[in-house]
Amino acid sequence: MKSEEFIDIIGDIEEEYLLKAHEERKIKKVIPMKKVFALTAVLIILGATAIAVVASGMEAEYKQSYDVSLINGFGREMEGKGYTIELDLLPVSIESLNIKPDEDDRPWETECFYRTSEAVDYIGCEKIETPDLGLHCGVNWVVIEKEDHINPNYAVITSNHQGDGIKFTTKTHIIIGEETGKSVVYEDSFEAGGLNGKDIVYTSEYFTNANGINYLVVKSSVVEDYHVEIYGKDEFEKVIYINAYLVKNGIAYTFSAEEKTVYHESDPEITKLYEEKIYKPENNAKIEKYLKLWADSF
Amino acid sequence: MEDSKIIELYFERSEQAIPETAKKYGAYCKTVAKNILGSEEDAEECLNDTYFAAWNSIPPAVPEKLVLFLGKITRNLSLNRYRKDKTEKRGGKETSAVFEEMEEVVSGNDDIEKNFERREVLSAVNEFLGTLPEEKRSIFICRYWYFDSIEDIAKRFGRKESGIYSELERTRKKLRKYLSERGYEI
Repeated sequence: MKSEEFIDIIGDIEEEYLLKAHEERKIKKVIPMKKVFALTAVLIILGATAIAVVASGMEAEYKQSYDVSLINGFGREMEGKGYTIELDLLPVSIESLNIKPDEDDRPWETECFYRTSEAVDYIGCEKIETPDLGLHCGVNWVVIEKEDHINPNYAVITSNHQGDGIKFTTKTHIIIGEETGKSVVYEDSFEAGGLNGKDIVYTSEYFTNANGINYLVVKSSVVEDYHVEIYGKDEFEKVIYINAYLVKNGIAYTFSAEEKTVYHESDPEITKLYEEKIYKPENNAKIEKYLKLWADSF
Repeated sequence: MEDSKIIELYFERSEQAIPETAKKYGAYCKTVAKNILGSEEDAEECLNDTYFAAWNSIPPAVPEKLVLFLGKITRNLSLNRYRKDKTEKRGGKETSAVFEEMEEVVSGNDDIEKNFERREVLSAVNEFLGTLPEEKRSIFICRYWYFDSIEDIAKRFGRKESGIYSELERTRKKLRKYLSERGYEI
């Protein structure tokens, strides 16, 4: 068969698929992010080793809309603030987390080739109330593809790690996206474990779960409104992109958009809460416990 | 105007059906035509042919999804024109690229015995597409149905062009394998 004939055959594929692609073509062309009022948070793992994150959001014109209420990292509804974000979010129970590898791909590709939009399909999301702190907890993770999936609008992080026979590259680079309402683009770069300039990401850790899957875990502290995404070099099997404010019984309340997450605005009050609540060792321990459970579920 | 109203106009044989179609789907169809033909002028002509074909098809046809109905007409007309133009050394560069890429999937063999029923292959292709994650499927369709350029696809999906290239390559390989495993050495 000639390729032209095959292209003709493709012309008759299922309308359902065509329609979906048509919608994607319509929607995604207008993706320009108008505003990014982002944000962030933190986390931990492996004892004193923390993790992290970043969060961010943007206004409409983006993906499908889901009927979810936006709750910031401290449990405050964002209603009434004009935040219209369209989340690419599928709630599922954490227990159902299950990445099915593409058999054809190399092992690391298997994990890497899931883009964030696909990754959110696997996000655990069950609401828990945490009246003691007035918080919802959240854990987001993003499985990042190879370098060629870099979105120049977002952050880039590669790390320096050697372990389990896999040597990672050394450079870490981060591009911070638009600042809310100002369309300012910051750039910064740092070596893993350190940051030159803005205090955005200050450490990254690497670990292997019980099933032998390797993760890059990045600890981040973002106190301004930034829009940041982390992605891995091709050596990375997986980059975890996490917001976790509290964990209870291995269940988290999660919000995630494709490559973005909205939690809260950065303001002095939140920063204070952040400092007072998030870094409590007992919280870290809970998060660590949860994170292990979660990571081992893969 | 809603699609059902536009279709009604066709059924009433109201000439207003054409400008209403053009108003709602002209840009869409033109993009498809231009992707394939690479020329504004040719795309415009193809667009007119599309309206004419729609006029002649409805009725009796009652498109369930007018946008796809028109898109398919435009695609077919554009590809026919591309083939004609190719003999005159004209035609869209994206189309040539798409055909070249698809050579990885097909054998290029015209052996009649190896030609399968088109509908069987189509069915297998549909099954294969059903196995792909939504975004990968849409990227595949943008490229091989809409003939969108890699650059456009990358922009739409917020990806690097190299990423789209490599993803399409992987998908093509998988498609070939998928078809082959089912006995379709096309």
